[in-house]
Amino acid sequence: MFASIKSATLVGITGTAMNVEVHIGNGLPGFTIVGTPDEACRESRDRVRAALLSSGFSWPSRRITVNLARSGQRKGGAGLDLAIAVAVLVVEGVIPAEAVEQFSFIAELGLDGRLRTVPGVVPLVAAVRAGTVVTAMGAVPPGLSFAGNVVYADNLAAVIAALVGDGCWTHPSIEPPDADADQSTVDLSDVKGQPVARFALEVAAAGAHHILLFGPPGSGKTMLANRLPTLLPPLVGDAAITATLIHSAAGLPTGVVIAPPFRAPHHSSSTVAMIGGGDTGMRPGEVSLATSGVLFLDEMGEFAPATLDALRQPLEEGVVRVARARASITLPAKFLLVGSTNPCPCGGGAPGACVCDESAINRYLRRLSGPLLDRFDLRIALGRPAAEQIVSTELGECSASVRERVSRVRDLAIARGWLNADIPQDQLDAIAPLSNEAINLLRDALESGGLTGRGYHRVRRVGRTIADLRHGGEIVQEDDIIAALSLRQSLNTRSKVKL
Amino acid sequence: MSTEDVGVVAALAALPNITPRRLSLLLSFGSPDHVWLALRGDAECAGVHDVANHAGMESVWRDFCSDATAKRYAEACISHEIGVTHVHADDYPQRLAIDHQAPAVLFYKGRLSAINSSAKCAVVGTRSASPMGRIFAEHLGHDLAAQGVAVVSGLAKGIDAAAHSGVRHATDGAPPVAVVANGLDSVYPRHHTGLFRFVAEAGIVISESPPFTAPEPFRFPLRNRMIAALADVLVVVESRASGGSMHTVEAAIRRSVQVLAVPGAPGAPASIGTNRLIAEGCAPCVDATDVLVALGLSHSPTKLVSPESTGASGDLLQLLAQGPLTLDQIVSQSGLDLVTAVRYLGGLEVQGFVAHEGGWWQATAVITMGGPKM
Repeated sequence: MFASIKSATLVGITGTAMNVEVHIGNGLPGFTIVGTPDEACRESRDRVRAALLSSGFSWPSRRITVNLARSGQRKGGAGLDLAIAVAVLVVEGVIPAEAVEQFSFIAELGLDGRLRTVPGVVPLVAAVRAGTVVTAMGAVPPGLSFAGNVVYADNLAAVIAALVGDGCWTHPSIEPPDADADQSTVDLSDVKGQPVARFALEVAAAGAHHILLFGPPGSGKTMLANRLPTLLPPLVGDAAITATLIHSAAGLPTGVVIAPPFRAPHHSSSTVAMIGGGDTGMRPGEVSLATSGVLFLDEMGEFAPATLDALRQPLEEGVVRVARARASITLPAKFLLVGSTNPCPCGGGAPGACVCDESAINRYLRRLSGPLLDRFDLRIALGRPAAEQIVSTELGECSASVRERVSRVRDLAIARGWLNADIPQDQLDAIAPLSNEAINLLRDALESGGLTGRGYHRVRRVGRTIADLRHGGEIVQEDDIIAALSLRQSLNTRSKVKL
Repeated sequence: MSTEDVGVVAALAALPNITPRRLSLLLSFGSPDHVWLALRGDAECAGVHDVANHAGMESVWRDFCSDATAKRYAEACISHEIGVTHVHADDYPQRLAIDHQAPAVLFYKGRLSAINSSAKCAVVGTRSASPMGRIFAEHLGHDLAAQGVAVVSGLAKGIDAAAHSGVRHATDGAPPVAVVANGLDSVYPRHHTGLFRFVAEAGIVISESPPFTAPEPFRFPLRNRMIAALADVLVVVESRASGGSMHTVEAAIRRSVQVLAVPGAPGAPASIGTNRLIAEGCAPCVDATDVLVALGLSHSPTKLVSPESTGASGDLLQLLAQGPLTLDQIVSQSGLDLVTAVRYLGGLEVQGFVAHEGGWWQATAVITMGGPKM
């Protein structure tokens, strides 16, 4: 009359083990699901019934009640289909109760009985601590530590056969993740000329400094930004697992995420899409998907101001806290921010080429100004490349060799305790000591008004990265600071007339 | 002037539907006090009643001319340190008094003597100026002030503001004169507050609008006629085909004030108006010397200081002479490494040969007058 089957539900990127209870009793024939299911979950009724019938089982014409325990928490998605179907069959006596004790079931059912993978299957599987998980083929990428506890099947009939001992589980062919398969098709060698921009990308990658590229259309902003992830070292250990969990929770098809993610949301993206939240499961947003990788905001001035403002917490803390009436979750959001913008609404470019009204420019740039603009350690003006550079067949340095230097600097930084962009202010003197000439240079810059107090600390962090890249010495030299200052260019086009 | 008088004069200028012409007419019938009493009906003056009748405002003006109104305006003038004068007053500037469209009542902040002193050059131009236009106006304002020529302008965005901020950089320059369209109790545009304060302290800011007057569009042409009336020479730095600067030019031509125009690149939108003026026979102005010549003042010829043109600095200057470049382009085209290029550029910037803004570097030497400075 009653069966309880283990499964799991998802909130954010965290799975929770839970039980699906099924009771079949006398009464008017019917099928109800209780325990605060959401719409997709409620629709299980029809899928489960069709799948059972298609797989050659009969449907009990009695009163069926499914409870998703604990009932307080809202459950979403179709991942509970298989557990419900198995529970019905246990109550019906098709499967002996002892046979399912050590299994958890996480898969969506097709009307023909086939098993489908569901969004968030990786964190769901990870949530099951004991026993074995039954899920759809290819749901969990091989190579994760908990992939050993997983068995797979193609369809419901095969699951039942394996459970009652008439068949066996399908084992996926275990092939080691192909190192070259994830290789991106873009490479820094595609960028012709633009030595300063290339260097700035290298600094950004090595020190995890946020970077803003500004210039007229056609100056290569997007091309450069696309190539930044190729300079980052591949993800290993916890970073790879976290990224895989996030990608799975967002429902993206994924193997183990090794290549640094690159997310480029369109400027019409909503704040919820950017930050996370939304339906029952609280889908991770773009900031979380970009964790350990690059978040690229093309045409930043076109984003809604509220959306840009919402980036401030993740930029500050490396996590994003999404609170809703029903749940409050913390998602990782530690990304490298790359922004790009035109210098003005007309795209302008060089001084004199712009036809914009001054107030129009101010309106356009005001969206970026203030706190957000402050977070960009590197700000690079780009012009359109010269004709001879465009037609040149000479290739620039390739991503792999730059990545080698970046990895070396990152290793140095991690040995010191922080990536360079994250060095706390009180540690700067210990980690990034300045030569006397460098101190004088910074003092001049502060006194002339070219540098603010906040900018001072950022320049020192960038100086640390440049010193690591240029000579690896302990003391940050004057030349390193000169380079750091020159990579922090002013976006304010009308700064000349100071009023 | 006593506090009561200040209130009365200011309130007269604030009569509803008053125009500069009606105000002049009213004050031509007697002292402000007399006109005030007549408007209230406490004194007889046929002329005043005719004007009020003709304007159809007799009852409105009678109600307006209360002691409370006068007190309100007196308090506003005093709290904002606004001076008031009128055509019958002794301190009314001679310079304006002889103009056929002189404002009957004048509000000011600063020293009235600044208006009467020295030769005056009006520098005007478009509000949406090009960077080169603004740099030119700034240099021109500086050089003129340094040569003892007072710069008259309208404190608008763009060229006007650039000219006066140039004056600000000159040491011991001639006192600047600004003419604004709105009441002196507020600054428009607001971010010119610092510049406004500088002009009021070093020279004078004047307006014919009483306190509480907003910068309504129709007030700007009226403001422009006062700029033309104050100027000995008018320089238009940049102007579109039509616009406020062209009103000032018309007003200047009516007053036989010489107009100079700064030539711009052919087809440059910001210079269409000035280039047209030159084509129509207006004298061109390429530096402060041209203004001094137009004023008939003796002058020392300005020197064009040329930077050293050898070595990497020279190469960089030659590169920039072809047009503005980003740092990225400079490094790429000069073949220098980043740090070296920045060092040379920094040196050139301190000397005033190059300038950078918005990530772009450009050569400024071509329009530098009397050597680099600022």
